[in-house]
Amino acid sequence: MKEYKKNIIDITKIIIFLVLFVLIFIFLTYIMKPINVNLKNIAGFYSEDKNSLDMVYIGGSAAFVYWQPLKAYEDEGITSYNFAINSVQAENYIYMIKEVLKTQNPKLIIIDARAFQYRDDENRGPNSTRYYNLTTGLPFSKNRYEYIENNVPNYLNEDTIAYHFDLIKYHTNRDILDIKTSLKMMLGIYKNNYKGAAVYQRVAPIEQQDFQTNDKVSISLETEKILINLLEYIKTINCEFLFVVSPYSMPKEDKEKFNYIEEKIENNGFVFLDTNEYYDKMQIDFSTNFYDVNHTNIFGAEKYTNFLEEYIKVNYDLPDRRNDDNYDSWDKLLSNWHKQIDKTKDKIKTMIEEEDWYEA
Amino acid sequence: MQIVNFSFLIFLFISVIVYYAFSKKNRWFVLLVSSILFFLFASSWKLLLYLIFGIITTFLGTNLMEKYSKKRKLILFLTLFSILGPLFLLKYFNIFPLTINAFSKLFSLDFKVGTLSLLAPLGISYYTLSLTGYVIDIYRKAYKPQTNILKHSLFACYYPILISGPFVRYNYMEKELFEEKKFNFDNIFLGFYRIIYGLMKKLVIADQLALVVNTIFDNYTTYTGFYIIFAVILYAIQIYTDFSGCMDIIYGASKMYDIKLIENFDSPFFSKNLTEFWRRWHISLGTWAKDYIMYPLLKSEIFQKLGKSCKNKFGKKYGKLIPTVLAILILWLLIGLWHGASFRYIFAAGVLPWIYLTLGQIFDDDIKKLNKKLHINTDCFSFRLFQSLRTFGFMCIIWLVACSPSLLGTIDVIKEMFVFFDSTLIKNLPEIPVLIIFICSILVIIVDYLNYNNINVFEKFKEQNLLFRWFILFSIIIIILIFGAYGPGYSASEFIYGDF
Repeated sequence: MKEYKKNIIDITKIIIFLVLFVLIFIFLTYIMKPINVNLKNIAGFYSEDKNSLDMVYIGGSAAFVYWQPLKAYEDEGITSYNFAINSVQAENYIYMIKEVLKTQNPKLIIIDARAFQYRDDENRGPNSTRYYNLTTGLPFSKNRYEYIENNVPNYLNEDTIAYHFDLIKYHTNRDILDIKTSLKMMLGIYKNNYKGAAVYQRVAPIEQQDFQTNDKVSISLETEKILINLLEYIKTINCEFLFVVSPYSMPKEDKEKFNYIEEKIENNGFVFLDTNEYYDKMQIDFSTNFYDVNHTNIFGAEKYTNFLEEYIKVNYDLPDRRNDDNYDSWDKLLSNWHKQIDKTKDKIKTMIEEEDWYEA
Repeated sequence: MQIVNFSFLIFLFISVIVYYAFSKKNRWFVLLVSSILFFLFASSWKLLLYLIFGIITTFLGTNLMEKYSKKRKLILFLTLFSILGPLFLLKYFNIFPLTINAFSKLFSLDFKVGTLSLLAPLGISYYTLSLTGYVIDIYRKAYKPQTNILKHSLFACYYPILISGPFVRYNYMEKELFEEKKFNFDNIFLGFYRIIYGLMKKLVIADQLALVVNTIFDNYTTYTGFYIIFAVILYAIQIYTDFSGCMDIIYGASKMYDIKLIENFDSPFFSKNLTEFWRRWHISLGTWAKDYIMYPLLKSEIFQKLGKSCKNKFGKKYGKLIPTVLAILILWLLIGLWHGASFRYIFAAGVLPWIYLTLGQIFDDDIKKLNKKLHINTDCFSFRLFQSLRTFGFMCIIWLVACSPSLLGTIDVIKEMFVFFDSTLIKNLPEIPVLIIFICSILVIIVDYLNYNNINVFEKFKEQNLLFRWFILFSIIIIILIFGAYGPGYSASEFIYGDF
């Protein structure tokens, strides 16, 4: 009896020890993560009120640098969020959509289609940093586990353990701790005050290229398979999808690939929109509206958002939430947003005057 | 799968649960299955064939020796040949082409012999030497051979000791592996403490220091003078915490199965002289080599004759000393070769220790007399400290050779030691958590000091209050998780002695 009692006590001790270990492990995992735009965008998404977003923009920097959710809210009452990370990989999309649908029931999901074009580029395809951009922000879940197990061994040929447990990757980040923000992220209360938009004080004149062509060049079989899988998956979801290519210095070779991607998307019954066809309508100025060949600056982003919110208004039936009391918190964010935008615009204007161009 | 690996800890955890879920009588079988699975995870089924071959030949050899006692010697040689042959071929054959190539280079000849590039199975030198000892013991009729091939297999491939030893003797392991044991949580806790301590030594001290040591030795023409001396001292700490840390993990894992292994380290840095150091460093290799190489040599007909002849020519003292010194030379050359098929290892881990020990034997009496004449108090702390530092210094010379790119390269490294050093280069060295490494090293010194004074630290630790124990344990775990050298970007996670 005495021995039985001792065993019960020992088992209890082991269980408590393991629970404490798991808590410490999770705590360390969160405080060691590098707090960057990827983490802020993903972590901030989970603190949005449940089913409060009518639109989610999924993609890479071609999403979060371009689409300004707070402007769209102010202009048209569209409640949206950029669930986007740097150099997003096309194979991320299914898992990102699954993640979005865990807490939101959007009427429209916009997918940044540039990921299908650049994935075959040797320098922009899958690599560990790009995978960590997503896994670092995602909380532990079955979806996260499947993303890692289905992709890391296939496309990176790496061991998955460091992807499952971020601490293995990030435990060396000892000098850049921001414990307060990390704790908020751990508790799921971190708010992204720009709803996933990034505002950079950058500008550079870039060359506008003649990209017009009707030719089609196929993407790699691997990327095409990823696209087809995504299209098959989104057919099963009760939500509208729009595939978008945001403006950049597009060369003809890229357009040939986009023509091929467009055909695949449209053949499956989805809408494809290449906004590069609308430079004039957007009034994009290549000398002042970009900061590098792949990204608009804040001026370009504003023009892009104006164009896309108009397109959404005409083509999709999204409610205007501006007079909805449930969205008061959105109104409160606007003043801070304006302050930031005005400050950035002033800075960029000075940089243009001084020809202080951004170098990537 | 490596021992310092999350997968290993999960594997161990599952294996321990299954082990105790089986009846006491059949628990050894779980260990056998675990060992085979571990080998397959860590290596490949093709390389498992070497191990199976070694197991079958030694099993047949030892049982045939028992049955056909008149042909014991022939069977012994055949068995030893069959298990040492693959070891020699896979690990040491290249010493011949390397020798030829070294001489060819020395005499500027345009002649090069190709080397063999064969993959050696996991732990080949460890299981081969343990099996060799077993075969010799059976030949000597020290005990009866194992007649159950599965039990024999477990002795050969018990997985915690497969990577870095220690070398084990069958008559000791038989009791530990096959005796029916009662489950006791204390074994799990003690094993766990030891594993955590080993992980701290390996990941926080050894692998972090390796970053600095490797940088300096890979660029010894840049990091000259003091940097080289500094790197050798760090290497001494690195190799000790690496190897003994590995042993701590192995002992901890075994303790969880209630298997007690013979210790491989016994606070070596507190040794007063080199003889004592070698008694406390890699103990199982030392005892194995003495039992199966040195004593048989000294008892052999040739050495007996040599002893008599020297006694007649040089007197009683040298009649005893010369054969002993010669046997020690052969012993150390083989130990040097075991460390690696290169002249660097043969010299560093073979010739140098032999020179030290021989000189020690020759001048021991004279040094004692000198101390007495100079009225040096040899029974005080300061003298003991001096002795320990002197021993450490001698060992650093060995490690300097071991760290050099080659035996001839050692001369270049020594030359660079006397070149002026640029103190600003220190900022180019890899950044390591110096304070944490220092605190952990102090902890290791305290544990070793207590051990030196015959205090079992882990048993004492278990007797402390729960809150204290958990505070210490979680502190070490957090230090390992944050400051350990593991994950992407670190590659120094293999054990130094795992390569031998």
